Amino acid sequence: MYLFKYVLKRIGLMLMTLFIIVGMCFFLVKLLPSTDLPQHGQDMEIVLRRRELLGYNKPILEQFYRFLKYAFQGNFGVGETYKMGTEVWTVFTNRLPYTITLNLITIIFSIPVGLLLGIYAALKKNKWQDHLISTSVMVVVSVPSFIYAFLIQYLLYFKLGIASAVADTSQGAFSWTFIKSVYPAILAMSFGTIAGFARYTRAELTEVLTSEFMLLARTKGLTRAQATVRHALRNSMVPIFPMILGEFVSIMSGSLIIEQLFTIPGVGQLYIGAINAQPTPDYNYFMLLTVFYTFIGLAAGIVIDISYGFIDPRIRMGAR
Amino acid sequence: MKKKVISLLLASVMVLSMASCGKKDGNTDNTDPSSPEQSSENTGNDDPSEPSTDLGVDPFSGHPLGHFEDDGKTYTYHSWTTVLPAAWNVQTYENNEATTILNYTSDSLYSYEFTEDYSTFVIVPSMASDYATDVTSDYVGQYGIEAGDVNKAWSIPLKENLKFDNGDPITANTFVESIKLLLNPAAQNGRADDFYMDTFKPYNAENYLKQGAYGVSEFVSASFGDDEYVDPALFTADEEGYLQHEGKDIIFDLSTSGNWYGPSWADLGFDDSIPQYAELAAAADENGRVKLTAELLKDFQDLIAMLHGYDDVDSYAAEEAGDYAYQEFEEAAFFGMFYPEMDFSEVGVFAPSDYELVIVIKDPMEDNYYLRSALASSFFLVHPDLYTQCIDESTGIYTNTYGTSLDTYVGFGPYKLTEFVEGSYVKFERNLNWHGYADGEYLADTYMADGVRIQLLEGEASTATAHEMFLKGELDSFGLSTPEYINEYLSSEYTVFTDSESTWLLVMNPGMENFERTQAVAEPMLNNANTVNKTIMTLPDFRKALSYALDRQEFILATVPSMKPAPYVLSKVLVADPETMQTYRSYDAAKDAVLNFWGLADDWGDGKEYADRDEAIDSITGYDPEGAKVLFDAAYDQAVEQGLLSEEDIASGNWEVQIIVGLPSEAKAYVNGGEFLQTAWTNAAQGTKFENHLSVKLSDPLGSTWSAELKNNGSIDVLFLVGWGGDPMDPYGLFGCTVDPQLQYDTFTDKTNIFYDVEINGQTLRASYYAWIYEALKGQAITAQVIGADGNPTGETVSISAGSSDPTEVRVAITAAGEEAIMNLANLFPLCSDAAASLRGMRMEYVTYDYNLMMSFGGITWNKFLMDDDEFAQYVASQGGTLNYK
Repeated sequence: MYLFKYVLKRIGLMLMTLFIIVGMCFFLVKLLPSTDLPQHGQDMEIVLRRRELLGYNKPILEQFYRFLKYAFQGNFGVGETYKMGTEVWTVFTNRLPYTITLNLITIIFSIPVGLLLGIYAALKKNKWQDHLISTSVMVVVSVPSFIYAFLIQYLLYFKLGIASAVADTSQGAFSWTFIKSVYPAILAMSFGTIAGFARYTRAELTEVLTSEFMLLARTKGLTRAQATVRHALRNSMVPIFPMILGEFVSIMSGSLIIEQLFTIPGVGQLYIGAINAQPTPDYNYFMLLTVFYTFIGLAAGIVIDISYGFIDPRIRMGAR
Repeated sequence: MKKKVISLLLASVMVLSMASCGKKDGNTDNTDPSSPEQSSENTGNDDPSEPSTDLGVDPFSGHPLGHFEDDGKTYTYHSWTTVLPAAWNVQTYENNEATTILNYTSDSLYSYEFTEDYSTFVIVPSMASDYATDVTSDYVGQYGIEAGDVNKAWSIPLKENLKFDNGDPITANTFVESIKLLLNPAAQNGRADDFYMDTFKPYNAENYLKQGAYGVSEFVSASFGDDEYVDPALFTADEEGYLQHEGKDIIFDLSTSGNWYGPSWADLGFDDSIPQYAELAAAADENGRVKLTAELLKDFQDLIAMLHGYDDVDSYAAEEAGDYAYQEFEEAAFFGMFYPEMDFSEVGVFAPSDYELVIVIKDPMEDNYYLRSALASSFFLVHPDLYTQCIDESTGIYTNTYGTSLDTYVGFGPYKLTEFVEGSYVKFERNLNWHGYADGEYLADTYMADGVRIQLLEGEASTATAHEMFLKGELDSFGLSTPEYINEYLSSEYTVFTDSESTWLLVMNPGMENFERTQAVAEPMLNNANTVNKTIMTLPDFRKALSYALDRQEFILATVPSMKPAPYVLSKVLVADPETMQTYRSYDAAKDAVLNFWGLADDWGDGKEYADRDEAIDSITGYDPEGAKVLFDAAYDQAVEQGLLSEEDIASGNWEVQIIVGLPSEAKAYVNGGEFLQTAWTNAAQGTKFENHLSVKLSDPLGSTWSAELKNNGSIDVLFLVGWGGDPMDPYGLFGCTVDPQLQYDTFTDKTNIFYDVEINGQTLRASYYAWIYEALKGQAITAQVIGADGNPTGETVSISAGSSDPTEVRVAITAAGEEAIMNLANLFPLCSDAAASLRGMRMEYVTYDYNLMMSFGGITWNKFLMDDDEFAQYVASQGGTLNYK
């Protein structure tokens, strides 16, 4: 019951926060001065009239009310300066599956590998295996993923001829054709995740393995493997599991550079494209993305907070 | 003509988007793709259409007609782009990316086609069945046509087999409906202004579009009279006190300072602390426009006086300008009016029958290149029913999703859109409903490609990825957009070169007030300097020295090696007379302008250093390091004389002239070019009075604000590799960019006060640069002073215009003298021609290897494939998977 109340309260707060953030973004982006400049051969009258027709000259509160009214109906309008004429929701939902597929496979592949490497390094602490993994992790963490992406594309596509240069989107985002064509991108994106999880797991597990309760477990007669699996791993997962959840939550966030390099039509470029659109930011794309990602971010916070209670029974959400 | 602040990146995109093309004869040898010369000797049978001589020739182009049939093989042209459109609504698109799809899926009433020998081009009927005929006399009393008028109403006969790619018929009424949708007042479509902003203006098109709304039209100066200034005394005041002229309001616009100064009054430094500006701003509507009353007009006149350094218009009139002080506002004031409601039947576009389209134009045009060229557009044809279905006004806002997906678009060109993944790729297949494949219309040897696939490649690595894909045989052309690639493939037999209508320039925007402002806040870069001086850059000799210091050939090697040095502003490929295809640069007047500027006017002819004008021009390098030193020293002396250098600075020697060079990005061409300028100018200053007093700083990457930083803000001093693009058949319009308020780089220079002389019909005439270039060449009559033998005005004036209907020689004379004048002004200097290079794929052949500005190498129409898709894949595999183009 405590948890239920807690969740309800969090959801209420989340909606309020969402409203405030969306409102702030709306007002701020609308308050930016219009940079419409007449271009040679273009009648500025048309530009101004279109702005009038689009409601840009109406009071900003009225514009916000209008935005909310149609946003609740799922109508975010069409692109006005970015991807002009396209329905923003359609473009977004057409692109989202590509990002989700790419990120999901990356996570499914990289998290287990990262965890296993981290566990192995912790168990072999200060041995050459640990040094090798830790050094590799440092190297990988230090180098941006797009650098691997270039190298992987060059090596696998150009030199070895065993991969595609760009994504094959002809069969859609959930097709084997697409997945097969983007494995270089998945590899490039995995390195960072693998390294991150390996590093974090090693650190947490190393700390737990040296805890006194582990000594107690061994003195109670558990083997090292039993103590590690039953006690050390579970305890070290308390901070790691939310990380894993966080990775899954972020599957809807596109990677700008990786998606560009492999021409994956994901959502990574939409935000920056909408903001950089000329002569003004594209309000409709900007607001859809703001609403969506703000909601995802806030919801993820709740899910992660609640997850602590399941991982560690000592944590009680909402309990007094 | 559309604004193009041209970057090298865009140039590369242009080259890459240029469809490559094929030679006339096929080659069935799929194991040894040979050189163009070799393969052209083979007459293969891969061509889907066997030339069939008994079908005769096309009467308009002279090319043999053929019978189109599928040979069972598949030829797919593979290309790439850095920008794939998300929408390609022909009535609203605002940038060229939409043409990636429209070019393949659209057609036009008339189109450009090679002449029989592929040496040049001709405009031929495409959806039209013949050229337009003048039917003006049939419509006297209608559409503003009066008895005796000619060349206003044009009848265009249409082919009877026109269809959309879904099989729906296209008739004359489809065109009318499409134009009605284009001009829909509720839509305010972005392309609607094409029907009234240029010379081709269908009658009432603008009025229909703007009906029911208040709007501003032309400058007061433009409509008040061709050869007289506005007389404010003729204005009347309505009951609310608003000034009017012939029923139109007089409008001041906060957002634009009109013809001369810059984009907005705020940019000129006006703000609410100035009472006159504050009063005007307080009276502005939401669009920043002010209906002028007598009091507000006085405020407006005061603002202009302040730009001249006076407190108000009265003191400006008394001390300098006389009556003109009260009239000068005409260049920055507009007429405003309500557009009355009207029915589309009042617009000069209608269909007397299913296969006759009549267009009545506001201003008469002869049946010449310009009219045909205007009709050689898609005419914004859409599928009216589908277009209407795509309109959504349920939210109270008009939106239209036409041309955003396969389901919302129907084409009518040689290819049909069959696959489209937004942000990924687009694919076309042959549209057999296109009339051009019909017997009697199909030109033999054309449209060999069964399909086209265009891959999107974005981001910094797009060129590298495209290069790899090209070498893997996955692309059929590759633009050599970087110095590295050009050097790598410069001698390849597959490399082809393209010219452009543009010349790359080095530009400055000298303005004393701006330099005073920027030098006051500039930090010295040199160790020995305490103060920064920028006002020296107002001296033409100083700016000329910068130009003379540049070895253009070396500059090219450092930036884009495919370019060529250019000693003139207007490119050698521009055509002055489209009827004869004579280039602008081939006229003596154009040659003399160049020779005069570079000081070689007396160095050619019998017994002289150069045999003729051409030889003299060819000798110009623009590089004169010793001349640069002389000019530097002269500039120093002038600076001292004019007080631009303070006595303290001269005495201490702790000063520097600081030049900031603007870079748009970190692209190698710009970085290398910027560093080249740094070195060249620093070296040129050695041994002069500027030695150790000249610093050259490269800006951070400025992105899209690149040109605005020079033009509007004056925060940087020099741009390079900039220029203008436009219709290569219209050098006059292109040259108009040098004075167009929105496009000129030297916005701080008032070109209404720059005068030059032109010899026309034995008379020497003088008018302002603005009047010659921006008014006379557009067909407006201007008043020019007659100049006597002593070089002074005789007091006599003549009215003269030089529009598209006037003799080419007059237009060339005005342009050439203007070219000399603008180079003498020393605000811009030509650097090099915008030439580019690209590689054609091994299986491709071109119909001609002489690049044609309008036809490229023939485009998809004339592509010739030496191998089909399967054969080429096998060939690539046989080469180890990677092709060698070196």
